[in-house]
Amino acid sequence: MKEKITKEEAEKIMSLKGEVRGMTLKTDESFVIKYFGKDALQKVEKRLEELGYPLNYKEVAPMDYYPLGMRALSLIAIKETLELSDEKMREMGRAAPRASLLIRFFMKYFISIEKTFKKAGDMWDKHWTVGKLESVDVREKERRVVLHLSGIDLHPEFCNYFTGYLSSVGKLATQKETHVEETKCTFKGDDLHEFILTW
Amino acid sequence: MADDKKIKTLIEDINLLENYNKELFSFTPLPLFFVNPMGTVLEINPAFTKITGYDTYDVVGEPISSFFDEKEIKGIIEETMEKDSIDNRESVIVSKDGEKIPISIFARNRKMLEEESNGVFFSFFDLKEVKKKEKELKEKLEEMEKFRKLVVGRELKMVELKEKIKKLKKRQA
Repeated sequence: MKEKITKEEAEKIMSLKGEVRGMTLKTDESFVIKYFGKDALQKVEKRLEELGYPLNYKEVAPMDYYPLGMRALSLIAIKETLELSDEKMREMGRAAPRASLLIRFFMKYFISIEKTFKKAGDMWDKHWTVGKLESVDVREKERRVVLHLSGIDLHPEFCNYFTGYLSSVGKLATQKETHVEETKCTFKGDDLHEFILTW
Repeated sequence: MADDKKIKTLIEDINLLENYNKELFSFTPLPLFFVNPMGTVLEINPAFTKITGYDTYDVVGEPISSFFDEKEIKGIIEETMEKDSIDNRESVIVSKDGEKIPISIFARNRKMLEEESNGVFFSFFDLKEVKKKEKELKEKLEEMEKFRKLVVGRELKMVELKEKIKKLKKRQA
């Protein structure tokens, strides 16, 4: 079993510059309630309080901005408290776009595979005030897309979650099960995150 | 007003609108769902879940043909995008537990600022009760028809017998 995050580590994460939209935290709330119940969410909230960063998910406003580190702390607290596997965290990422306002925001982009991925950067910018997501290679015929995420080093837990998230966006665009692999990662010494989507 | 304050006010307004939108979408007893031009379900409301048993996690991102006849629904999407709307089209939706529910579909083409369509809004009436009553009524009518035929048949037989008796009496006389 992995060691639990310390208050000092939480503080370091919370010192990261940038902000993120509340809707990303709301998707965590709906996933935990749906699959683990309201008591589980209360446990997660208690854990965040112990770490010194209390969060009442119910009161989170989807369009408001929250500290960037809160995004990672929410994922870490959920994983720790509910003892979730990496695969379950990816599943949480896969579920997120389905329960997010993102769908309504980006309906106009989900009209073709090319348009969805070419607008991936816009989708990122609507949620985050830091980082840049770019589709660097879209090959619809070969059923392969390469995305680069730069300017953000949140936490390895987020990378894992985000692969699930992208696979769901891939499915929304392609109607096919989409496999996502993180082939480059800043936590492994690379200068950016690279995700390869295939379907 | 300083820029920061303006932004704060705008965000507050957007949150209020979003809450209003969410509550309205959740309150309506009519099932609603949105499908992109490729036939992927992008949104459903609680009334849809109540009738079909599918929740957001089950259907958002899935092809609409998962619970409609593929050819028929594809035709409805294309027709809606061409004509902008479709009213009262009878169809069948398959619920999560496999039940075939008769419905009446209403569909609207959705265009944003640009002219290009970005999908179709659907709503429907559950015709299960209507169809059940229709069937009951039809059965009742058939029963009444049988009864009528039986009664009329007996009446005719009686008339025929009376005629026969009359003829016999005449012959005897």
